[in-house]
Amino acid sequence: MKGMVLRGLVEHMESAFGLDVADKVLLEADLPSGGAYTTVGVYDHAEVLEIVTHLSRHTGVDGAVLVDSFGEFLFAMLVDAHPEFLEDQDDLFTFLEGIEDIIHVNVRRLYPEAELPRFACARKGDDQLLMHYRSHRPFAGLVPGLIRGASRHFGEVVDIGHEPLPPADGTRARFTLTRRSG
Amino acid sequence: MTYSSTLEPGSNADLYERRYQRERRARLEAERLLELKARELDRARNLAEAALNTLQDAIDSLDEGFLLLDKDEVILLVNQRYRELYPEIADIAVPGTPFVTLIEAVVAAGIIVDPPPDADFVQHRLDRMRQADGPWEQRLANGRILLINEHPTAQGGYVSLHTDVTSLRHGEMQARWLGAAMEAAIDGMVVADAEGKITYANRAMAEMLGLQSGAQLIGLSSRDFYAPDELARYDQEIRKDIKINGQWRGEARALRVTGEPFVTEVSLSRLDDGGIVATIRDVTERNQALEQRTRLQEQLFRAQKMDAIGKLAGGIAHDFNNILTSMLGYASFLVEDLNEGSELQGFAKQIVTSGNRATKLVQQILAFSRQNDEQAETVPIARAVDETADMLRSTLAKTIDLIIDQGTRDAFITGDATQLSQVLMNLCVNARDAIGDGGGTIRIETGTVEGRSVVDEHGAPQETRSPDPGAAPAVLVHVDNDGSSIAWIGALRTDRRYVRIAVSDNGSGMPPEVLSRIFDPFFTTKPIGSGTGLGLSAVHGIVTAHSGALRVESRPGYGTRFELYFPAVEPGQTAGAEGDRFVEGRGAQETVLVVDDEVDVGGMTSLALKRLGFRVDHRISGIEALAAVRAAPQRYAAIITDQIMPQMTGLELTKTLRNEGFDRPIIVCTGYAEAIDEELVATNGGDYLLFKPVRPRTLGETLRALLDARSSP
Repeated sequence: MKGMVLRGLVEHMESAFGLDVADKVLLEADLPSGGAYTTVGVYDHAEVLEIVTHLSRHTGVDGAVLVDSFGEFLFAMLVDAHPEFLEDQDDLFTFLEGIEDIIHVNVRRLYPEAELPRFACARKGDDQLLMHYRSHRPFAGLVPGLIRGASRHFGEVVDIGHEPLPPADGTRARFTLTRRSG
Repeated sequence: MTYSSTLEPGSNADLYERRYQRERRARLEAERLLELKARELDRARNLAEAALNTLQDAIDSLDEGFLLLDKDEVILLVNQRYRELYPEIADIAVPGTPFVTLIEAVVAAGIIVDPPPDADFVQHRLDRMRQADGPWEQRLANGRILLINEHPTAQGGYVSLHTDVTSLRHGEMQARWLGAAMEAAIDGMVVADAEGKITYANRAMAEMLGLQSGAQLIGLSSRDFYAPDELARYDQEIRKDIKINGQWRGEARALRVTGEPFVTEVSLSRLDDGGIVATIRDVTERNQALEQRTRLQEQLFRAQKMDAIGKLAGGIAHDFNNILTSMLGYASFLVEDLNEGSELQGFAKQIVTSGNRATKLVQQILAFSRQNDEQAETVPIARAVDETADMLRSTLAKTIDLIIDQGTRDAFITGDATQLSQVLMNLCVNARDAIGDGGGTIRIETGTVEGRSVVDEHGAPQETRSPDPGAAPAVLVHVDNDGSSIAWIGALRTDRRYVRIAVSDNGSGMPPEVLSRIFDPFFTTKPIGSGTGLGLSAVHGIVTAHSGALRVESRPGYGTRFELYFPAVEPGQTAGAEGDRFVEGRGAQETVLVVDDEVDVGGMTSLALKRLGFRVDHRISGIEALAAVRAAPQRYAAIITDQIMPQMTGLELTKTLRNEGFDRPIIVCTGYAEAIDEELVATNGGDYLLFKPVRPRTLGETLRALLDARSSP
């Protein structure tokens, strides 16, 4: 996993729960990287799971909630790092529909070693979008936060339905996005 | 990971210190990773540059001009070939130049003539590339023709390929012209592959063979259209020539699809792939025309030769006749004046005898040169043959059988009976000489035959135009495998009926080289002194003068057969303009006494008189004549006597008869103008003097006039 994501998770943990919690989590998790992440590095995605597990234990906050909030934080961080990905994008659904053909194409050009999840979108009317997630990693839980971060970027409000798909281990899921009018 | 700190554990300072240490480690890791990345990047850039160079090399090696545009229609890659195709804009045909700039430069430089560089050219050109509507052609001002093929790329750009098809298009055009030219050719043209299978044949070739289209010949073997013996010649000779020289030219007999053979002039050339290209011309008609022309030239040459010889010989003969007249005249004086029985008189008589022989020779020459005035009349062939046979029998040895086979007695020709007899006599004398001492048979056959059947069955030359009466026809000789040879003189008309007189013998026969020359004047195979070489020349002249034809067939060891063909006429009818002459001076069965010591001359005179309707008695000396008249004074209505005769001259006979009271007309004939004259004849009681040779017509008219004058009151 890209170091940018892990670095974002540590920053999010520090800002949300303080340096001491972050320090304890990183000490207890006994991570192979020692919690020292650089955006240009690549790390085992299991470190994400270890950090979230220990963070949940220290804070008493559900791990799913932690991941969801991290997703929203991560989107903002990605926009800061690569604002060009959102140029010429007018609305949320169009942006999400173009993840595979526009964003991932450019990500692979920048990071050829990146292992990216697959998104398949289908419109159901003007205000609803079905989105299938598929990945080698169990991070379906990150998706609603990312979508929320994106909807905030475009100034839209959407209801997000999350339906895990077999084997329900976070590697496959279906999301139903319904644009809230007004 | 654990680490030690001097700060109070859990204090803010300690936490920040820990965070700082993590950040530091991360930064060190980042630096390490960036260095690795930088190295990878260098490698990647090197690889990319190498790939780009390889790509440039690859597109530079293309025969096509290559242009790669990005999505903004700006040149990304361009090869050298492209710049060679458009040298006028080579300096801007480089990466980074917008395509529209390139097109505008092309228009400004006047590079393109088709499509026409009008005001909309640039926009149309761009539209065409964007629509990628398939390959299209562009004609440049320098004459080049480019095939342009353009496609969009996955990245939104375009690839433009420019192929120089100038040679291809010119080749196609030349192929079309060549094809059209070959189809329009008069000669047949065939292309065959190494196996001899026809891969192309033009229309003329198809028509030559009797087909409608050259396509009908495709796939067939060229061997199918040649005779088996020609194929054998091809395999044994021609193929070798082609292998060595690369080509062969000659004539070959081909076969039409109907199986009809025809002669072709063929030119064969070997192709690089082992095939053959052939040009074939039907020369059947040309060869026939050539043969005809050659034959006509031969005939003309022959005719000119014979005519020239005839004129020369005739002129000489006339002069020679005058000289002979003089010689014989003086010789006759000697005979008269010298003592009877003396040696000198014997010499003089020998001069006269030799002179007479020379005179006959002159007559033969004149007959050949056709300078004698033939007497045209309707001649019954049967009687002419009978009379000639009568004369012949007395001269032939007993070892020679003379067989007369008259197929009809109702055959008539228009001509001169005397000359006809001369022809038969000459042929029979030759037959006798060919038989020699061993004995044999001479056969004379007569009959009538249609010209058509002679032409068809015997291959006689066919008269295709009016013959030139002044030209002697050629001698055409054909040699058969058995050694026999056939010669033809003259030609026959297929719409005419002919009288045929055949004289054949079983003598020695003649080889072809002799047969081809027997009609040449002075040609003879007889020992020196035995033949004049003028007999058959005279036959040639007489037959020709009678609009006839002559066929000779001879085989060494087997004999010779002459066939004479004369146009047949009905009794009293003439054959044509050449014989249309009214003959006066006919007899009324009066009996005439002919006196001449030379049997054949007297015989000829007798024959002429018989033709004219007289009865004739022939005596060979003045003494015998005198006895005949004394025996039957009233028998003879007239006497025709030669002057120069042994024992008693014609004038002596005349004088004696007058003295004895014979009052009928007496005509004296002489060949020697200076010996006697009309006055001397009259003094001796003669009525008329005729100079030899006496033409039958003249003889008849003179005799008739004398008889009529005598009988009139």
